[in-house]
Amino acid sequence: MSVLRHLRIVFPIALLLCGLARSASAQPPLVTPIRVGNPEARTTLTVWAQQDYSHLASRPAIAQVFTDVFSDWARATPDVNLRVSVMPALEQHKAKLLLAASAGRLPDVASIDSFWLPLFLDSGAVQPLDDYWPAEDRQDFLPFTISTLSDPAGHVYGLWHETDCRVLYYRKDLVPRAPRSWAELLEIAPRISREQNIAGYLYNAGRWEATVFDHLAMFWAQGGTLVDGAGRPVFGEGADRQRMVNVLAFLRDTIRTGASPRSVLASMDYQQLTSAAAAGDVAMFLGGNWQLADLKANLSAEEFAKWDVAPIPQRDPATSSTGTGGWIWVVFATDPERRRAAVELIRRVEAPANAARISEATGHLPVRRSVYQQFPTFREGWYARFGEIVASGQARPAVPMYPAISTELQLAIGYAISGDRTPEAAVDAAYANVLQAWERRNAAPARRAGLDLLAWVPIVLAAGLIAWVLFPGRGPMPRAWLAPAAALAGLFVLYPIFELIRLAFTRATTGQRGAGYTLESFTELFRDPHFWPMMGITCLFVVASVVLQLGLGFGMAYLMDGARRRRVPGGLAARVAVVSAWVVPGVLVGVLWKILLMENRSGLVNYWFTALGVGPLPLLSTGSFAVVSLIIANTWRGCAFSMVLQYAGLQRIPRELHEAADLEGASMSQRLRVVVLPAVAPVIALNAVLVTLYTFNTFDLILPLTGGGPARQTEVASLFMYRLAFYDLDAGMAAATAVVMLAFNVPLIWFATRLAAGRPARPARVTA
Amino acid sequence: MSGSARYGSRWPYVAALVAITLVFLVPQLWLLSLSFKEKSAVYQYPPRLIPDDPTTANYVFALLRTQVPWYLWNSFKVAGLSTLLTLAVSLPAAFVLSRERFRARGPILGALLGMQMLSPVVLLVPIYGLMQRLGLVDTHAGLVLVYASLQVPLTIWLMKSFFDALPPALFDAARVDGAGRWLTFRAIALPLAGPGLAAAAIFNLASYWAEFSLALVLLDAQERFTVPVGLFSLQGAYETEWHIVAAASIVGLLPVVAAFVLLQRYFIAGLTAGAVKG
Repeated sequence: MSVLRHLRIVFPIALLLCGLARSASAQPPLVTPIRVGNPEARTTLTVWAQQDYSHLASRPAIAQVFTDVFSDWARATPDVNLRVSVMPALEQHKAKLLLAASAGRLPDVASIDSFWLPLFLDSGAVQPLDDYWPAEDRQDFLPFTISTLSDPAGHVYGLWHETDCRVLYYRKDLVPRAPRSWAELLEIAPRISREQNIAGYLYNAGRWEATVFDHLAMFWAQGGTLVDGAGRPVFGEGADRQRMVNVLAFLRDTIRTGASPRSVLASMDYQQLTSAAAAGDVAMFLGGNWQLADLKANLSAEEFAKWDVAPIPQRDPATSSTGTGGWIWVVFATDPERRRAAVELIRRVEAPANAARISEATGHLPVRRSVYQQFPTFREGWYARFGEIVASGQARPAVPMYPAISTELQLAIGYAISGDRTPEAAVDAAYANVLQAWERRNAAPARRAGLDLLAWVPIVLAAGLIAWVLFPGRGPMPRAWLAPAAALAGLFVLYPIFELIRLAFTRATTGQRGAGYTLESFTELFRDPHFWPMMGITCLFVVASVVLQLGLGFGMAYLMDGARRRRVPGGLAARVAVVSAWVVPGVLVGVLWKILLMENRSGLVNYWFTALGVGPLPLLSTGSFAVVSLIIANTWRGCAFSMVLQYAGLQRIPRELHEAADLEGASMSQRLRVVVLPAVAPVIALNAVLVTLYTFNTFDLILPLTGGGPARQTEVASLFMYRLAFYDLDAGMAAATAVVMLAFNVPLIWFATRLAAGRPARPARVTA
Repeated sequence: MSGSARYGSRWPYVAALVAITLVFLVPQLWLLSLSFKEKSAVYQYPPRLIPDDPTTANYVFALLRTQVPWYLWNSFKVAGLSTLLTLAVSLPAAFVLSRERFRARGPILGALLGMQMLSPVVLLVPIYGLMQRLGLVDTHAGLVLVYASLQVPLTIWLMKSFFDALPPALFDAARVDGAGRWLTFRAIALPLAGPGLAAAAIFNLASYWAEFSLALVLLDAQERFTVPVGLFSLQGAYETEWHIVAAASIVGLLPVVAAFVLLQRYFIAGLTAGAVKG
């Protein structure tokens, strides 16, 4: 009963701590991490914000500004309060919004990337702001922020709250004159790399939007256009194709000439650029204006004085361009009262004085003319420089196809840089995929109206199966004792299995009812150029993980069993250490290994590699390294399972057998073959099947660790399915993928149940 | 000890055990170290396991200026309720499956064993659709129902094996005395199943605490996030403050590690029981 005593102590304490933390954080009355404003207010607006643009920002300066700004708003607006949700990073934020839109669960207010607007305009979910936003205030905003967000009728659908631009950061002591052209850059950077033994030039090339956006300036400056007036992608045709190929060829050459290390492929985070600069590891990088603040914070005054900014180098030095993006507030509330309250909220937050304070904290560029004119910070110095560069700025086309174009170009850039494809092949493949998406989009969806009888099949099947088990015809049976468990299993396990199979034969959209039965999801899945590589990666990941986990698990178990028989102390401590890795939630294992594998010298693993003279390795940024890293992280987590199972198996070997082996003077291999293996073979077999199953379905560890990148080189089946279902909202293809996964799972499960039952035949039938 | 002479030196074993302990503990200690570092020390070279200038600021920040306390509360709530529901549903089923013999018993046990191995990841899409139809997306109730359902099969197996191990004489005596099924369950089986119950409860709590994919898909509002989804969302869009993430991770890990250290053998019982006991 000692457990119960422990429980009696542990849980109240845990609950108490939890409650204390909550009440402590509820201290500031108007701004809490979740609620902003008067708790008694009549109206509650839900707000989905970006973490770095809210009172929950992890940078204290930003958090403080928003706490102040929100407090001001709350005092002035006692009858409204806010429920603030901070959304996960970029892609997840978009996915959540899309899903909420398709399910009609959108928040009242959201901060979104300006280039997502078309996705929500199309469905009519975004509400116009102009009826509550006076024209004279709109006049204060830079023209592109209004025109990009307006429809032909003159309604404005978003309030741009910050913009940015891309620039070349360079160290004046190493680069006397900033390169104006690609040729100059490729001349200077490799020389610096060689002579200083640091990266000459760094940029984002990981699988995320910035990789495309940072480099579109190089396409635009050549006169390139992504889409035509009708929104049709054209970047892969004629002169535009050549312009895009030029950009990719330039990026490839940065690696070939040694100007840049391959680790750029893992740049999925501007912080990596900043930290490289802070560590003195880079001479030039293509970054955003907002990084200036970080650079200043991380460098001594003397070091910071070495840095300067210049326009992005172009193919033709006489041209210039930079990508301007930014985030906008949008309102989804349709009720007039809530809509008015929502618009008033964002107008108050973005009042000139607030906008100036926020921009100072975030380092982003203000979009109000009055801010540039009235506030000294923005009138001179760095911001004036950025102001000049932003003059040649261009926003991404606000067309529904842009996200698809970006996704494909991210891959194309990755392939070109890694050398897996020529720039020409990469552009052509990306363009073909984008065109396909464009055609799918324009093909009239054949939605079948009316009663869909087949939709009822899964639930009927599940209910029937449960009934068949509980009412097998004759014989008494404690039905009431089994019914609750059967009901839960039927509704939440059996029904989803049948429903999954049904969905795989539709082209359903996630969050909506599908209609029309077809094989298309499967045919498209097998034609998908990413499907077969994904299966290959999954197999590699599974086989390697299983072999390592079983081998190491057995090795450790054997060692610990030996230690136990020899009464060596420390066996328990070692077992606890191993199992503790298995107790850590998978997401945290991912986060933990991401920290361990950081790609600069201060990452623990790379520090050791550096000390060994191997140098910092691109452990997460190069496909092959990333796969190995993933396997090692997964093995580290999973070894415990094999070890515990096999240790239990080894303990069942009678002591006399070992003693007999000792007396006979048996060698290590004889002992293994004769004494150990026969005893643990069944355990190992079961273990192998179970580990294969677990590994095949691993998801939690991979998403935070690599997210499937670089490019899609660590995207295993579960991630592939998740991406389809919750980024692309393609439930049909996601279900088809899951059916393929199920087809792997079911035989393994069947096999495992046979092994667990301890006999290869059918389970013994016992009669009452 | 005469054993050491016969078996040879113990030192290689000690060395190997120490090495294993280090391999599995150092990464976790590194996270702990990071959580006490200032931002500038995160990218320090050479990196130090013991921070030069340890600070608790990251913990204060995580507890007061982020939604981490909510994540903890939500995880306690969801894990606790799911465990209660799981046990409430599984115990009666496990009891009759252990003590009684009826026609469908074999197939039921086989089906449960199979279901227990099925990963929820495979079923994300249909479960999301089902929850949407039930109006349970973005609710803790929905999460609790799905969690409990997925964990019921393993829990039944776990509890069945504990009931199996109880001395049959007790039950025979109860039958002789004319005790019915309910009385036998309540008065004999439950009081004796304490350690088994504890193992099942701990194992369930730990699984629910760690569950990520369903929570990620089914929850929208941050105020309802559980610890894994919340910690995942701490990774910023443009930049991640790793020292804050580390502190928040340690806070999120603490309950499960504390439970693990105190109740270690029940964890391991849960880990092995479902898999080896047949």
